[in-house]
Amino acid sequence: MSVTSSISGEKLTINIAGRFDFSSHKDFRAAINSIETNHVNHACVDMRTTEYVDSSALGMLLMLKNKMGDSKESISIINAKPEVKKILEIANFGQLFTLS
Amino acid sequence: MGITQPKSAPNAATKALVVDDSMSQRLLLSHMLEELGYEVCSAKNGEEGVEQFKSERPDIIFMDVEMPILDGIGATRAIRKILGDEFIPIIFVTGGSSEKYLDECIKIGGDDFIKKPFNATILSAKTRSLLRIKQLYNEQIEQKREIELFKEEEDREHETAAELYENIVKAGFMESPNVRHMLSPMALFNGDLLLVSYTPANKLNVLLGDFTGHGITASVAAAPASEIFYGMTSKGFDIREIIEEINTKLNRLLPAHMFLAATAVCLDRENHNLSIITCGLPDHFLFNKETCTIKTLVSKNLPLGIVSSKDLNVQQDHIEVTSQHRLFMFTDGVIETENAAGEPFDFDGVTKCLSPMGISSFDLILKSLEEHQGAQCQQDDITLVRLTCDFDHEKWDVHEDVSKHIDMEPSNWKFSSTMDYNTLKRLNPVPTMVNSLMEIQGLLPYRESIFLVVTELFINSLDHGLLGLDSALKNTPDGFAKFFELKHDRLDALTTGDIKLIFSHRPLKKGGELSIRIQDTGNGFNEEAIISEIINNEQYSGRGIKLIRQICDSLEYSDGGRRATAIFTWENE
Repeated sequence: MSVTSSISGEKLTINIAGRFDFSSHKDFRAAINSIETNHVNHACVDMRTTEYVDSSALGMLLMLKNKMGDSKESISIINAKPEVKKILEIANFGQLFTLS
Repeated sequence: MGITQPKSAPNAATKALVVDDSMSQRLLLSHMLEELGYEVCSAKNGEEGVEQFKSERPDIIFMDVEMPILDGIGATRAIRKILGDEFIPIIFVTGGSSEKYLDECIKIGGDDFIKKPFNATILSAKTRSLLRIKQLYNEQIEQKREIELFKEEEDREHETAAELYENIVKAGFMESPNVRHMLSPMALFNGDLLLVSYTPANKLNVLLGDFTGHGITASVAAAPASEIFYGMTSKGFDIREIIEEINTKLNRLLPAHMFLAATAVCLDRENHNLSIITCGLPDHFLFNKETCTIKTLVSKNLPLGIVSSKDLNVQQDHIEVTSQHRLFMFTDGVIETENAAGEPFDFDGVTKCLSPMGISSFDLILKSLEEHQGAQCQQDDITLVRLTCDFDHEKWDVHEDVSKHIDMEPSNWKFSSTMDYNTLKRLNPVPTMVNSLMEIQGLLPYRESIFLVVTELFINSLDHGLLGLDSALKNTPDGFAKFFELKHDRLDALTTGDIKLIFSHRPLKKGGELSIRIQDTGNGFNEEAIISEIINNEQYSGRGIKLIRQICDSLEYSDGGRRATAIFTWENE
């Protein structure tokens, strides 16, 4: 697992490689802690290299949402593999995030 | 008990033990050590050395090898045995013939050598260095003990959390022959939750949940969820209202990253209806044993505790079921159980086990899971629930056996309440009204009966009176689902009308008489049609009215079907 993030302008991009679970917790937190200081208004979670998500990963996405505010458009989750997308869909996270 | 070691002079309290049978050597070494600032005690053979060690507890020991009675090697062995995992450096004093023992000395627990004749600088350096090692060692031992203590404490807390959680989950749990479940201890620890109870109107409510987080975190959140479920179920609230209440509570209570994935099910015997609200658990399967068909129930709502109940906008499904239907529900531990090759059990693993008459699919799933898991280390995080839609069981007939005695003096009272169309859209007034009756007259032993009567009358009033729905709809396959859909739409579109509930009570000789009147502003309905319904259609909608007639002394419709009056009498036994 590894979480890397970059900010360009007002957009935060987070990449998660490997398993997205509790072990990513610290790094993910660090990544979203930069949101306020950098006036981020859009966050993009790129899951092209994410192999697995568990419920604590869903929790972390909710922490991100909490930071970004209520608008569904402010966060997009992109490139999720089918098995990862399935888990996001079971939790109906499509209602909270833009899944593509 | 670490010692402080100044850079130049050793601490005055630092004590050295010198064990040597040669008096001159003993005195020389003792003197040198005293010169270096140590407190010194001495012994003239191994046996005395061990005794001195016991009484003086030195910080460092100088040990000659060849001595009468007990030699240095024997004494060192004895001292090390007494010390256990404590560490005191032992330096062997060697010279001449004793050098052949060097290897043996280290093997049995010596730490260093010093050669005769003694050099003051070397003696000082070796002593200081070994005392430093002793200090480091002791600090490490201390830390290790602290960690062990901490771990013990943590284990105890985990145990407490697990026990607390189990108690919360099990308190209020009503065994039902319709519910078979398997909850492994590991699943409990991981925050899986199963709640089962009957409503006063004899509907079976089941909630299966899975908290993010486990141990103490999950048990903190499980307490209010389970209290709400059992409290509201016993008061006859609908699963939708229960889910909304739990969601509201958890939304306020839980930190952002925590939530409860859950499914609530209500099995209604009167209507042969299964209501289900799915919030983020893996797909469930509704299996018909007779036709061998499987209906997959996909999660339609967000898990609980994330958004407000208004934003949750609960989607509820109504499915008509027969005694052949079995609902299989599970948390993700089941489908994620891996085999030796790392492949998950998955949904296929479950559906493959759904078998026709005769064989228990539940057992098959468990067996298949076990085989799948094989010799793998036990993941054992399994929560599996089967809800049997069997309506013939005795359990349905009675699960309340309280003494029918009411302490409250029967009295005269009357109260009424009117709900306009807007109120009806968002509120089911029956539980609240029935609860008020219980407060006023203490009719708790009759709660179930009264609840049933008020519910049936109210629903008739709303469905047929105000919404003009035709119960004939319920006779066709899938009719129930259509009926509920239509009810939902019409209620949404309602712009006028209200329902009035009037309760009055008067004392009788040994008890009292409760009159329940429910009146609506709808178009009314044909009383004859109702009567015929009672006679011809016992299976579904008419059954409610038939039941009321059984429970009540009388039931009368007037004002063109707009007003229903039921008389219920009770006696103190």
